[in-house]
Amino acid sequence: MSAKQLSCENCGGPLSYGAPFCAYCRRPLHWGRHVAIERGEQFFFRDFSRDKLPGSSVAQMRQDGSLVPVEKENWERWGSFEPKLRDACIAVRGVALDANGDFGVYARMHAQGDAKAAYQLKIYPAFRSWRLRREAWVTKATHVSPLVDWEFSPLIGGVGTVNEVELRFSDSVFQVVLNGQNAATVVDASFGFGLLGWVCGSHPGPSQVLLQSAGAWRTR
Amino acid sequence: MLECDACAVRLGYDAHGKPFTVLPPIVPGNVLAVHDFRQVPLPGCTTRTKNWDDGDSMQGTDQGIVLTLLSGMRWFNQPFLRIRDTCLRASFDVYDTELRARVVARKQTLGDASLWYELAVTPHDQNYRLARLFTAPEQSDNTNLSGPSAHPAVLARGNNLLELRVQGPTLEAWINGAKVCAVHDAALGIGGVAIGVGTFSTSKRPQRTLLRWLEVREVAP
Repeated sequence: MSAKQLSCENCGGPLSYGAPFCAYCRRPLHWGRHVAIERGEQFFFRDFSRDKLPGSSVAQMRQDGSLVPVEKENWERWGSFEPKLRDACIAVRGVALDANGDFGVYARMHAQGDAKAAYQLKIYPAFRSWRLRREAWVTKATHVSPLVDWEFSPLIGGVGTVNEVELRFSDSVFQVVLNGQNAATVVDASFGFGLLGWVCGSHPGPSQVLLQSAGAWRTR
Repeated sequence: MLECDACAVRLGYDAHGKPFTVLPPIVPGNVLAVHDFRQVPLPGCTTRTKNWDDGDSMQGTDQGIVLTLLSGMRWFNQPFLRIRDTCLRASFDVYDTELRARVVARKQTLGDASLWYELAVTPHDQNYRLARLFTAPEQSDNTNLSGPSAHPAVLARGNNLLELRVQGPTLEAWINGAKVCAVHDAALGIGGVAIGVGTFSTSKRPQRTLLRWLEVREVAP
């Protein structure tokens, strides 16, 4: 296996993590070593003190970022970034301004007609915890399946501090990177392709989250 | 050979310089499971004969299990197997004209919602469809990957053999031994296997099918 993405050393073909052979050259594959996903070349970088936050007309641009109000309890606001990708690193930097706010990223958001499905990684600074889950939603409802439910991490800063949430994914390998440090690796092959995105949410009451920036990179 | 930057499919170029996707072949390998419905219940069921409260029923026979539907759809999910790369084959006879039979791969459940790939046929009009689907109590939706369209490989009467092969982001549909399509779709990567039978009759006229067997295979190098 090549260290660059998940590609075959023999023919360069794309690999499925854990597959017993390369689908293109049929060469047997051996797995077992840890796959470390790192940032490669940049796809984009948005500074939300200058760049419009996609998908949210209510965000207020300020000198230090875009303020996203989530007016209802247990609610979310989100937006997506082009391009659609299989493998990438997506990071969002922001500040939860109160104890109700959380924020994070979407990966591999794709559609079946009007329905959408994606991976969502969020941090909840009030509890310094994070969560990774699969989601599928339509206008009236969201259905979820947790991969890792709210879990404490000392890497997360509390309310009022800047946190960077990053999800790196290559095929079915997902790495949760919090403030630049690897917090967890999860293997899940459920969804394989789609848009990137940002998300801000609220818990028992309305919240305000300041999103400062978002960036996406190739994996290597 | 080049690779698509976004979805990692391999690309080739024809004589005019136009790109096309290069899909790897999917070869059936070792048998993982065989459900012979002459002897065993449908996946997820404990008996071969059953009457549901809504009037649907199934009856075990010496050829398989005859399923009779009045409305809607019945799922028969294999509960013990989530698999990424596999070849699924199902053999069935559809007796009535308003019935759709399908083999399902990578069926993923999220709460009350599900997503999956299916190869479905409606034998009476010889149509097939390979699609990605979503269903939830409040809404269902789909993305067609190939079809719906008529194909001579689908038999209007008698026994049809449906085969869905999935390997990484490559999907192939085979019907009665003929390859009807191959597509690249990376949206869903793993999930369960199932048979689904549904009627689109609005008159509650009974629609019958004989389910003969289901086979699950690994993919081979």
